[in-house]
Amino acid sequence: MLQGKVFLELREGNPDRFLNLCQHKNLPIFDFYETQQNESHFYTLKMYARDYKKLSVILRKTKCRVRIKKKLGPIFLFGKYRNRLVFLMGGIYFLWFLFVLTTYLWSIEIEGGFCHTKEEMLHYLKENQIMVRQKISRIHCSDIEKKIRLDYPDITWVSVERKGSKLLVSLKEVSQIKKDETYDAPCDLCATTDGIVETILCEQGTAMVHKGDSVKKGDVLISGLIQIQNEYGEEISSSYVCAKGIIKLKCIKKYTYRLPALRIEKQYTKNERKGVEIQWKNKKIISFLSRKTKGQYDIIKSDFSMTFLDSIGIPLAFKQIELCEYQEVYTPNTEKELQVIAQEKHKQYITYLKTNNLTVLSDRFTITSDADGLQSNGKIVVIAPEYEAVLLSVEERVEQP
Amino acid sequence: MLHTRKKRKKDFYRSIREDQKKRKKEYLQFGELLRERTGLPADLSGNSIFTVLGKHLCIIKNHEQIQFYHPNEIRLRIKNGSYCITGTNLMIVYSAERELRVEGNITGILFS
Repeated sequence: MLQGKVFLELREGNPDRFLNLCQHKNLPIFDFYETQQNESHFYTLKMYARDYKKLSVILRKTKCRVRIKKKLGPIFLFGKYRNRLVFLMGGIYFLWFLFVLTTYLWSIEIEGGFCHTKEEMLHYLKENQIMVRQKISRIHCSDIEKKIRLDYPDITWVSVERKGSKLLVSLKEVSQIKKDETYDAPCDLCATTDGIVETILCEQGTAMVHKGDSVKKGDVLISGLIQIQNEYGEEISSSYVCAKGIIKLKCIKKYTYRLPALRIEKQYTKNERKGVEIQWKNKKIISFLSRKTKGQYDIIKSDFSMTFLDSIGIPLAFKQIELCEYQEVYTPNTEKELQVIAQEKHKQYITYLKTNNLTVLSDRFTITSDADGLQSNGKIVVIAPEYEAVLLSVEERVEQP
Repeated sequence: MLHTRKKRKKDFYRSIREDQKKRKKEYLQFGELLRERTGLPADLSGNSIFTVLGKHLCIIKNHEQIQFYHPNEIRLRIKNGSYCITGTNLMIVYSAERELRVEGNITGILFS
């Protein structure tokens, strides 16, 4: 790569013999071509600079004349700048500095973490002496993999890979449901709304209500107290357990929604300003705007992609800012429009209930309009698991028979 | 009787083999015949290899001499004949002791 090439112009003599002799002496020739210029034709070719010195015998035999038209390659560049020592030293220092920088880790990327966030994993790696600006030679990917697997049992698969000066950590987790420690403590299951018991299935504890019973908010549905009685109905012993079961109540969900008669609309003026913002760690340092702004405006920020800065771990970001000025215009809503909006809101609410696994039995909504706007009231009958676990205190346990 | 029939069969096959040999001698030289008998690969006998890649590049290996060069025609001497490459804007991209690369708009290749 370092050996340079010379671009030659061959005139007169026997060019075919020149080619054969070069071939015989094993002097490679590149891009041999015949060109014509101002009624004189000559041949152009390229060859290695070190081979050019061996041409004298061949030229004498073939009676050709050769002239160097151009010198190509870095070796000639060094010769050109041999008197500019500082420039040359600067170039060498730059290459050395680049080499030194490549021996350090400049970025850590974490993929696939859901329960364990990127910040958490970075903190963990930092605790284990793996961080940005550390020597690459000290990082052993297989050791990190083993350590992560041992410390995090819910991570089933982990791969640590080094790509240049970037460390890529890929994770795969097992979805685990965290057990609530308080869930096993003695408790009652109480209703959270008024309603009628639709289904009740007691798994642990004593059922206090039956299907078809109407209950009020706060009523105990399944008690955590278990009483063991003898054949005469006398209590032998009692124990407290965590009440468990499936309860579904038929209840009414209500909502009210108000739609104003006037709606605010943004009317953009043609007054737009552009500028650039420089951020350090997602915090603004400097912003260059063409002019100062007055009134209300929308800010549109778009990122410049600076992959080089990102890869070496410098948290510097450049953003283009665009300020679009607007004026608020109040436009009146017609009653028909408001009714359509109210119907859409009602539908949205029902779909929201259905996505939360609630069975919708019937839905009804009324619209009342006044000078300020429109009010929609909705009543939806649903079957829902409306209960909560209420922990029993020590005093309560004593008070209960 | 059986003996004479076997002998006739043998003579028949021998005549076929000799005929094949004669035909091969007409277009194969001694070196190549030897290579064929020994089962060595074809490029070991010093024959030139001519490779054409598309319409614009051809690689010639084991050629002996460049007889003539012109942007419209290149003539090469090989061991037992010559190649003639015709076209327009023909350029010798690389020329070394045992390899030659020609680039350009190739329109014809003649073996003689």
